[in-house]
Amino acid sequence: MYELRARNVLPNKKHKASILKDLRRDVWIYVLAAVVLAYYILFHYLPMYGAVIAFKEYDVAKGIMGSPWVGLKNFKDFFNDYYFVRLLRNTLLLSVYNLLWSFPATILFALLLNEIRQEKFKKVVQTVTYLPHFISTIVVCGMLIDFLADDGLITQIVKLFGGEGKYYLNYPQYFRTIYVSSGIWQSIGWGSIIYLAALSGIDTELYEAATIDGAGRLRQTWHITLTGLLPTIVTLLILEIGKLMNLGYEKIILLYNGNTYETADVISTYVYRLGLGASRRYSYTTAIGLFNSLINLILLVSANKISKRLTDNSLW
Amino acid sequence: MKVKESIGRRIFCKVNIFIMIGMIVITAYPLIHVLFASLSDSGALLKHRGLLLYPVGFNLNAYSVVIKNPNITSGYLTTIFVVVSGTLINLFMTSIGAFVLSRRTLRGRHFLMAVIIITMYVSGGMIPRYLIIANTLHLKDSLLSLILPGAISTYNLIIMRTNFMQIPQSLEEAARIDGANDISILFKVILPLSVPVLAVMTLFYGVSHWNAWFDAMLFLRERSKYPLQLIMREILISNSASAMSDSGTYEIGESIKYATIIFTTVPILLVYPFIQRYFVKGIMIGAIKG
Amino acid sequence: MKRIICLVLALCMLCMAGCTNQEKQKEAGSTNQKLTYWVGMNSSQLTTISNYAELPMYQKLSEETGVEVEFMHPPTGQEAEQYNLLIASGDYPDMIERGWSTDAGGPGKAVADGIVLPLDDAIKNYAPNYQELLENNHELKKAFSTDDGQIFAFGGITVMPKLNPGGYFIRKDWLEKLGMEAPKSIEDWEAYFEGCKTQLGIETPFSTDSYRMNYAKLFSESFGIGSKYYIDAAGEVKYAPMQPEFKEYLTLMNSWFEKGYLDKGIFSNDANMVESKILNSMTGSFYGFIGSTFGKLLAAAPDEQFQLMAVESPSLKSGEAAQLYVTKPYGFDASADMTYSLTNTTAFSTKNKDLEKSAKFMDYLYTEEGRKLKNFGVQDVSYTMVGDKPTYTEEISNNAEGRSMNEMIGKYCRATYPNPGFGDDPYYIEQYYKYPQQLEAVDIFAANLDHAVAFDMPPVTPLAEEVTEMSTLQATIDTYQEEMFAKFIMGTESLDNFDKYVATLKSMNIDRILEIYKNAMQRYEAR
Repeated sequence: MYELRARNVLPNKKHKASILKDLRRDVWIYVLAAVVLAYYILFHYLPMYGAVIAFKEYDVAKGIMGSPWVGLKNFKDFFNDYYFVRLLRNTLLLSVYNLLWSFPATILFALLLNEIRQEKFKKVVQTVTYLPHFISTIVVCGMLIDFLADDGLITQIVKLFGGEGKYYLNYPQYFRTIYVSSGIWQSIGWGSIIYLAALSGIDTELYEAATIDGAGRLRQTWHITLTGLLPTIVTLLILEIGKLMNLGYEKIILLYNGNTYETADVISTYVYRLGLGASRRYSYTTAIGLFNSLINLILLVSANKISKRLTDNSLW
Repeated sequence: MKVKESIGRRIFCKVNIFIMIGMIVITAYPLIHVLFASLSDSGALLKHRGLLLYPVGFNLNAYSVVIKNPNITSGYLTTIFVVVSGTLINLFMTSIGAFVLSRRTLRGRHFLMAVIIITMYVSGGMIPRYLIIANTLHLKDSLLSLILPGAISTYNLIIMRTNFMQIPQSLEEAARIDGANDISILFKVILPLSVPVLAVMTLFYGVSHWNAWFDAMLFLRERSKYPLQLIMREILISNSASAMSDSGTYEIGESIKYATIIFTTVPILLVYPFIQRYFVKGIMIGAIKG
Repeated sequence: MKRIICLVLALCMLCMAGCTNQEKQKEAGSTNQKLTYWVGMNSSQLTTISNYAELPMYQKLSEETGVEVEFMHPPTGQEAEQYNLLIASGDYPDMIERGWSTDAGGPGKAVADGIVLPLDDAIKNYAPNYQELLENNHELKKAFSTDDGQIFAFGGITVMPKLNPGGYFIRKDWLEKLGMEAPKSIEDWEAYFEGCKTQLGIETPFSTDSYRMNYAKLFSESFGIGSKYYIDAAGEVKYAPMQPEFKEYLTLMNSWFEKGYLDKGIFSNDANMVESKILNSMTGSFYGFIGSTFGKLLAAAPDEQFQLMAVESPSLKSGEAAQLYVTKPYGFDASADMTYSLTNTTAFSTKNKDLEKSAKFMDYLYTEEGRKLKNFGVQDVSYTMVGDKPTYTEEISNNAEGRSMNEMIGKYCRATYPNPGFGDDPYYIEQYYKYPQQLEAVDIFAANLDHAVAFDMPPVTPLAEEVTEMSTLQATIDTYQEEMFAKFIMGTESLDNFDKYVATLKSMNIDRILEIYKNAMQRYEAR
């Protein structure tokens, strides 16, 4: 019994014997830890190291080490790139629009769904709305391309409401709407699960107390429900803000074309096109990628700080 | 206690039900449309206007073309291989990762945790990742390139760790008295108690392997190794449905795309009802403690 | 229990080891003298074979030369993307077949980058037939060489220089219904479109696929300008998208788009979509090819009424002769007995394992037997000799399952699209174009060649030090130009901004590119 208790005491006495003892006792854990660490080094830290080519002029033949240093040239080139402003604008706008629409939509959907008391019906709604989350991006985009053609399903519905029949994916002014609304279609059900879980955790006594105090449904929703959801909302919001510059480029690559670059071309798609495309500008695009990550990190840290100050919720 | 409901409340409930029915229609109709279109005659489909409420000129030609396509068959095989072996490796790696991080006696576990968490927010970017995996690690044109780079999803790792940490210590101690070492504790005590979270992880990893295409596009060279999604991209996005229907029987063209969608999405839809009950549980584990 | 755990662990390890082992074995196998050959498969063949190793043509070629080859195929439609990834991975196959001159920097860059090997020695030593061919045809040698005079590829040779396989086709029965003659000018076309719309109730009088629209620049040839970089009548290098004529062209296209003459999907359609629209009588005219489009559609005609005919490129004003840009290289001679095709040529990579075998393999295509092999396949399998004339079997020329000739030829050999070796054999043309309408089309489109005032760029190469600059500039310019092209036509950008657009192109330093091209052109002439 004594032995067992000792195991759970955190090793705060730091003499050698106890370290060795620890190591021997936990040998398997260290072996497993090494495997996990090896994975992270190989597939995450090695690429981070590879990012030094942003400061070099990478040459396939010479490799990462052998390529010559060029300092900040690639970054400067990017700031002078004809598309710099457009890329930054598109990345931010597409992201922000996405956040502004889909984030509240998911919460609203969860709140409404929570009000449904016919359990069977609720189950059906849930089952159906979770479904799109499991459909591959390729299929969703394939469907969008077809539905948004001049005689496609969506175009015909738009026509019913007096819209025009055209290939909507060829017009830059519609791209953001298409991207954001199809994103909502894909994620609203799935995203609501987390809120439903949080909602079920709210103490029902609070509602009863409020009813006795004469608070109406709306006020209850506002004061109890939303307050109860706040930690979840804030945590998710910080995470979302931290991902602002990391748009789902797979979907954009599948949906955009030369005609819609004006609104659809974002930093990551540009990196893809230039880096792995005909001009093969590895170093330049790596620099762009680094710049993107840096902004991301700044956004995440500041969102976390602000939230800590305002709501006392934070990631770390 | 039955509280009398106000009129406003009752109207709200009715409206709410309509909204939810609307949600069902919006979510489900496009899928139904795809199903009907896949069963339609291409020529008739091309000329059809308005909603599709039943297959026009019902026939199964499109499916027979899809099934005969050698690329789809090889794509299916690749995908199944990647899903099965990839998910197994995912589960193994994530379990040991979560296990290691849940050990309170591990020295340097804060360091390890930091090393892992950092990768959620910082990455080398697309190009270095490509160069390292393809050139330095020599994984190009190997199916391992679809399995190893994503062996652990850090987000899933943290969910799993949270779950492991909720398992009562007493169970573990009892096993230790019986002489079990850490490995057998993981496999004999912890994992059997974590079936729900494992089921969720299987679902998450499995689905993401099934739907993945980007890495395959980057790393694979040989057509015969292409997973299903990449073949789908050829058919749905790169506009080469013509490549499949070039067979003189022209009428197939349009419905072929839809048949391909159905053919490749059905497996997911089939397993979906069985695992649905697990994932709600799993997400909650992540949500409440995550 | 412990044992089970060990077992699981062992299995995992085994699985990983097994995977890597498999890889290793593969690599070991490939150094075992099987040469690798990277080539995009033609879409007409996707339905019949999954790898060129299945082609009787290549099986026979391997047998004759004793060279074993393993083919690597990128997905159709993504060849460019996949080629770039291939290069990024630094692991080159032995032979690479593609259009080398479409790269910014051309084949010269590929040589300078250490991707492609100069072939002079290999050809001299191991490819006598190709060597002889190039020695006797200076124009061919120029086309397949870099500025330094190094030969970089085994090229495609067209033995019917006058063949111009692409052009406009129209519904003959609709013309008759409208009481019109075949359109000869832009005005005639407009009348036909208007007739289709108002009298026949056709939604989209003209249709084509997005590739055609973006690269062939439909109807722009009537303005005497090329697509992208071209050479005008005076022999000067020009950039079509900034010529004043281009504005007129865009204005016309924009008005056609607005009036609904053009298919709204011209920037999205795939070829299959266009063909379905034609067969379903939803569109009245299109751009296509005599063999792969026209022949296929004639074979699939839904009824007696459905009739198609080829029409020549229209002149700008009625009564005048057309001023045409043709997709034939500058300096080509219609009376010569052969010309080069740059669409697909085979180069050897710097990592080629066995130059001798590779060269032998390719050289066979330039022999008389090789020519037959490429155009007709294997004797008594896909063709029989009727007198002097190789004749396709019944299975190919008149397939019982109703498969097109294009597709059936593709099951045996590589005759129907450009690739290394002699192409467009007259016997092949005669049989492949089996409908009289197709032979008519050959004459009609050939007539276009006589009106040519502008031509394609020959395969020039910039200097090594210009290459990076040029590819950087070109990437920016191309993106911008392609974007604006669609916008001007769809009307999302007003044509009043054309001057601004030209100014932007200038600010992107288009003049520098033209200068590089001009110098490269001079070096080309001097080769």
